[in-house]
Amino acid sequence: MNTHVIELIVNGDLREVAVRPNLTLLQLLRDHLRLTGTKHGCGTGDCGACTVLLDGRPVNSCLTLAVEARNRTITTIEGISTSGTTLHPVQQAFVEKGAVQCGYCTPGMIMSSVHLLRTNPDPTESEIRHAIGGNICRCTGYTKIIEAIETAARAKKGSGQ
Amino acid sequence: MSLPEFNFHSPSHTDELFRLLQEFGPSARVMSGGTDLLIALDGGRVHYKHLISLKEIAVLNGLDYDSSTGLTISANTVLADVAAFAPALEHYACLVDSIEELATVQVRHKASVVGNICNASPAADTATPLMALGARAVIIGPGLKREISVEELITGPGKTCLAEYEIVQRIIVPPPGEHQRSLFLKHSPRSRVDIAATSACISLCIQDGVFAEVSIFLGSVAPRPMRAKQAEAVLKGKQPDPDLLQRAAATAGEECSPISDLRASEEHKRHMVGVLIFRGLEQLAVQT
Ligand code: FES
Ligand code: FES
Repeated sequence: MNTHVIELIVNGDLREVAVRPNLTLLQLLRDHLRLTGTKHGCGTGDCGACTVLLDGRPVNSCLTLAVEARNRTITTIEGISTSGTTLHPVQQAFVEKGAVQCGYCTPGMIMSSVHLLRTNPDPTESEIRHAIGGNICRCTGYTKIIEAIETAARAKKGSGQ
Repeated sequence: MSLPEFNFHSPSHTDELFRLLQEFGPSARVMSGGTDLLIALDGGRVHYKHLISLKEIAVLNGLDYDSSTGLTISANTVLADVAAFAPALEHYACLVDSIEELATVQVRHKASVVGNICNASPAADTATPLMALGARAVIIGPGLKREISVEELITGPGKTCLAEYEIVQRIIVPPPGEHQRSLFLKHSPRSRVDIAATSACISLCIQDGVFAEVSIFLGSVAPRPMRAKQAEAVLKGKQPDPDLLQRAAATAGEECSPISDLRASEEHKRHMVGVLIFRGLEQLAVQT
């Protein structure tokens, strides 16, 4: 197997790593870069727990090879709050609305929601359901998650962000 | 996921790509999004020593529309980009609908349309719309370029007519006819994210009160996406009325050849083909 030395930007930091071709982006983030906020659920693209933004697009990091991230920009749950001390509006809304129970789906759910609100700042409930269709939650029944995303959308609109 | 060992190549020119494909032969596989391929590798369903990414090859990127050529979808164009492309939304409703029903947002941002076709699943959601719209595939290889219909490209489950050293460079969907309308319908027992138990795409044109052109393709009910020729013949030249639509729908249910599998029984699939075709025709017949 040919090892590749790649550069990529993770949460704003330039990283240089040596990766084997069969290493997934999820494994690189969790096991090598110690960014364990991104979760491993199914490993087969079904649950969305591993969702990260790759050049701003939501992808399943379990279905992405680390080597595919060469010269690309990755944002994980650890990187969405710009200040590092305050929560991102979507995180804040999840806390306020009680949209987190066991929390395992939450990082992926929040990454999908962040992408939704960037591309569609005022989504309908059906658009929200569609956007999180690739994220499975076994605890909440989704109602609180949808309320949280609606709340985050309103907060964003109110703050003019 | 615990992937087996393989070498990864990422050529930046097609010359280099073809050199690698010729050198490695059947031990190599090209990938764009890789969302199906990595799962198949992980599950041990396929074995390749070399994966060759198309992502760095600039001529395989791009999405374009003009009224004379139609819609051009390149090898690396991801599903989500087509679904968000204004001319696609305006002119190729059935294709956009099929993408919206395909897998998840995350997969649609990584998987390519061309990959969905080249994996040649009988259930590939974009296959029936592309076929119904008369799309063509531009195939390139070392020193060669040829063009065939997407319908001819898929030859069986997981099989295409591509040689080992050939790839689909782009798909061209011709501009829609003046009165053309189309839709895509999918039935999955569990949810829209799931693989279709049956799907159907209808593209037609009603002129002077009769069906002038009709193209019906069915997914998941034959070894490859199939054309419902007998149902088309029932409709052609006739005025749309409920009896005729019912007859065409029943014909489509009879002429397909589904198998019973974990998604649905053969009988249920045949029944659902009839239901989808009737619904689709009814909807399109009242559209102005
Ligand atoms: S862990 Fe990637 S989708 Fe489940
Ligand atoms: S909060 Fe437990 S899976 Fe969603």
